[in-house]
Amino acid sequence: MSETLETLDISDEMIAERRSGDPGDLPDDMTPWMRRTITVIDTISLWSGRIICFMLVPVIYVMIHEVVARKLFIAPTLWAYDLSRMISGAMFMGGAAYALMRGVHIRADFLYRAWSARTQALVDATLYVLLYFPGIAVFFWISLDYAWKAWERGELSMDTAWMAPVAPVRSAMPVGAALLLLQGVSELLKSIYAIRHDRWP
Amino acid sequence: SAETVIRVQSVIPSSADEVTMLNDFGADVAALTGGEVTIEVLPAGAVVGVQETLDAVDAGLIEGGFAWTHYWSGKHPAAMLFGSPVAGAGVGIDNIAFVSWFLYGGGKELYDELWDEMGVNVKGFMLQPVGPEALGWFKEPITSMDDFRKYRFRAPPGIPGQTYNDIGVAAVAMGGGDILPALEKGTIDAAEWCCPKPDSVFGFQKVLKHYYLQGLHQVVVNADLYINGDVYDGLTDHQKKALEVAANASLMKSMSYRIYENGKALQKLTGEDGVILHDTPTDYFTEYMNAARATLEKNAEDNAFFKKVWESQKAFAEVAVPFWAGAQTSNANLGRAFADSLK
Amino acid sequence: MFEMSNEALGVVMIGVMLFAIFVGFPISFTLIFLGVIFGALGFGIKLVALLMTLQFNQVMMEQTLAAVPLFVFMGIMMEQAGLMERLFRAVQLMLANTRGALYIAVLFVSTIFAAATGIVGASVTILGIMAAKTMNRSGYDVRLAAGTITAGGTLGILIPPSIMLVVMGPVLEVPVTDLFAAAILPGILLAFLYTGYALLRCAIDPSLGPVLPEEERAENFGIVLREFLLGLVPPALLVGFALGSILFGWATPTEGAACGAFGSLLLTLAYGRMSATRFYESLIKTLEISVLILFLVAASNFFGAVFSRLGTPTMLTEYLLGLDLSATTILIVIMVAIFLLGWPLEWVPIVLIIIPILLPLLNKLEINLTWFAILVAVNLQTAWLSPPVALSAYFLKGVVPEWDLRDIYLGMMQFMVIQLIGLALVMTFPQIALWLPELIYGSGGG
Ligand code: NA
Ligand code: NA
Repeated sequence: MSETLETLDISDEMIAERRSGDPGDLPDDMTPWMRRTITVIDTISLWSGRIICFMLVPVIYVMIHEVVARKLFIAPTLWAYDLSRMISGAMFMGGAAYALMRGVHIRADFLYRAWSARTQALVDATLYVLLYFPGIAVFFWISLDYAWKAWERGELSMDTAWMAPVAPVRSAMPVGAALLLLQGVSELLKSIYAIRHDRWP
Repeated sequence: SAETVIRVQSVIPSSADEVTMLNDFGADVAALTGGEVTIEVLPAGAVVGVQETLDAVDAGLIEGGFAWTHYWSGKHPAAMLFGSPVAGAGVGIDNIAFVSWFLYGGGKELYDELWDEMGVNVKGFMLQPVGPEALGWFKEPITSMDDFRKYRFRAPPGIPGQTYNDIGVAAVAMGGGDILPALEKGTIDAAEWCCPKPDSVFGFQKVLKHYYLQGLHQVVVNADLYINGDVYDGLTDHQKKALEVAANASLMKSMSYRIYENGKALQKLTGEDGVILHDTPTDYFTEYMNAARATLEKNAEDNAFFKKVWESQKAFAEVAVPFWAGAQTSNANLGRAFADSLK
Repeated sequence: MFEMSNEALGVVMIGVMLFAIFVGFPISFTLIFLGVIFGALGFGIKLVALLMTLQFNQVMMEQTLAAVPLFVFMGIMMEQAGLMERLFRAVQLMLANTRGALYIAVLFVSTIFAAATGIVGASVTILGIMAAKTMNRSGYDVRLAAGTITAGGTLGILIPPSIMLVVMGPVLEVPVTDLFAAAILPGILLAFLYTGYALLRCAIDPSLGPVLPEEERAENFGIVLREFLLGLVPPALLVGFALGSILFGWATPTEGAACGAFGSLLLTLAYGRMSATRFYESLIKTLEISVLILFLVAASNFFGAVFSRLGTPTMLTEYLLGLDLSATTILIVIMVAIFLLGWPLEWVPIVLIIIPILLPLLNKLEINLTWFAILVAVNLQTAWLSPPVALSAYFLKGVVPEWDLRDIYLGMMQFMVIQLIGLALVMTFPQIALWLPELIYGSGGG
């Protein structure tokens, strides 16, 4: 939890270890290849977040369009309901890696916070290797297959009259998982640095 | 021999009549197999979301699923022809005639093919003819399609809903939980759900009083059960036969049950809740029917299996509908005369 | 070989979860690991991965959850644009001669803000920045001051619109509109209890909240009234956009969130506070909080689905019903458990992990779910104020570094007691929650 006035704002709501700062902002004593890898990965995640956050604009637009068209012109759309849920759904799935890069995923950290950086990093690194990568990797494969089938068969959503194609929103899962795997590498490298130096990069 | 538990996740809330009849079917299966095969009904959303039910059965995550066939129209358009052939498949098939087509007009064989066309490993059982559904509930009475077009109407999903859009009705897509508050606040003015019993459980009578029973969007509605193909193949011939016999019994039981239950609900709606029944404007039938036929034609052009099923229904209808509709007319008139004498 | 039934495996999974999340790894990923491992043990790795895919897919397709990013955006935009500050200054001037005036001002403004946004941090930081300095200069009691600011801030997530209720609605299958209506009176009740407590303390010990010094007072009451009315404009308009659009039949609750988001944009533009940077900053911060919540929704749905697929909920429900405890006893046990979990955890994991596990039991006991949701919501207000995970304290410490964290904790905990009194009242008199939805919708939902 940051405690200076400039960096603290309400978006810290529930966020225990927010990191701001630019992707290349790394200590000088870091091995060059590590530095490069982390910088590249963090930059990819940063840009994924920058692009994805703008998807809220069409969500707002689509819903306002529906509200106005329905109320004033008795001309509801068939598409607003599906588009708004699919875009906002794809947002959180696609933005998961960006959030990991920013340290946004909430931790129950009242014990963790009290540990030394080295201990924290040891725990993180172990869990990344043993659990995070295998877990997200199987999710990647199965969700890729699931999304692929939706493209192949041209599957449509069946609970609305519009019957929107579901392949694009389903693809957000393998894409999000791939970005998470990538960002996981960066997080693992940061942990390795912290194990060596007893401080986070 | 070994016991098989078939866990069936429903897409319909546990309190619904469909689930009551599904449990009844389960009891029949258990009795016919001497308890070797039991059906355990899981509530909607218990393991996977409702829309993911068929995928979960296909993969074996759950052994069975229960929905309406047209719920899977997004996977294959022909599912609509089995679950809710819009406007009676455009050829005047009602729910009883549908069962006739299904059992003796080649429908069942095509139904088995449907799942292969969809690419899912399931064995389906048609269980419950539950149509016809009502046109819906309105804030004010309507006397023509022009009236109908003045209202924001919560439309059914899929092609039946698209057909409303095609004839210029302000069809609104809305989640189930939003419908009642939206009607109350005037966000929408009219809605369809199902039939007197489910509609009164839903609570439409609290906010709307004008009810129209005659509608075309779901004159035929069928709910069915899907069992994972490997689970089904693992059953003995006797057990398979037991499922088939219980399913056929369920067709008759469900229809019978629903007529009485809906009757009781309607009696309460009009007698105690102040709901007023209206006849649907006549221009609705021609407009909706023509638009539905156009949609059916288009789907038949685009999809070979859809065409095959629809052709079969048309061929059946050419033979059966003139007889059945003719016979039904006298029934309907007689019934109307009796209903009027009660007023 | 040691054989364990799937149902028992589910019990072990919950036990392991309660330890594992306190290791401190991000909760979403911890839940995913545990789900994958126990699911793989129970029914195979391929099926469990598919289950995860299907659950994530379902959460993406859940339309009501689109309200989460929209309400978050609305709150962040208003805070970034600084449109809520005038009201506090005006109320402060109005009450200048009253003892404990700033406590009343803080709580009044918190309640108004709560009706205009769906999150907590907005009021705590804004009021911390605006009120704390004045409170210091006026010789106010730090603990009581910190308590009113943090407790007032938590009203944001109870009084509608509220992200917590938006998330809870689909979990309990209760319309969000019912929950919104049901939360209004309990929210106002808490606001009154807070105010009553602060004033009572001041009445007993006037030194806790002295009248304001001369330079903090207004010369002319007309000016004060004008400032007050002008200060009310932005929050009132925002309430109009978000809740008004729902109440006047323009929008469904999800669309109402979009109307609120749109309204916050219009207001920012109208007040000339819009800039490209501010807009981008609001969007990217919205993404961060939305991912935090929605990814956790998906992860805990998956965890719950594994639990469900293992068959444990059915077994546990039958077991608990077999104990033949009364519904009230079980409800009290649940409330105590949620209160205790609120110390180390925040509301999101509690709502998402614990409630679905309890749901079959609640249904069997025929507990009104609207009422239950409000009990949980009021109960979870305490989670914001209970150290060590008490984010309200850290927001406040962030903007008022001169206040000792220990004083902030002690101040907050007084108000936690008030919240528990509020909880007991809603529990004893369910009508506090159910009267309004029954009045509006003719039903208690549930
Ligand atoms: Na609020
Ligand atoms: Na806490």
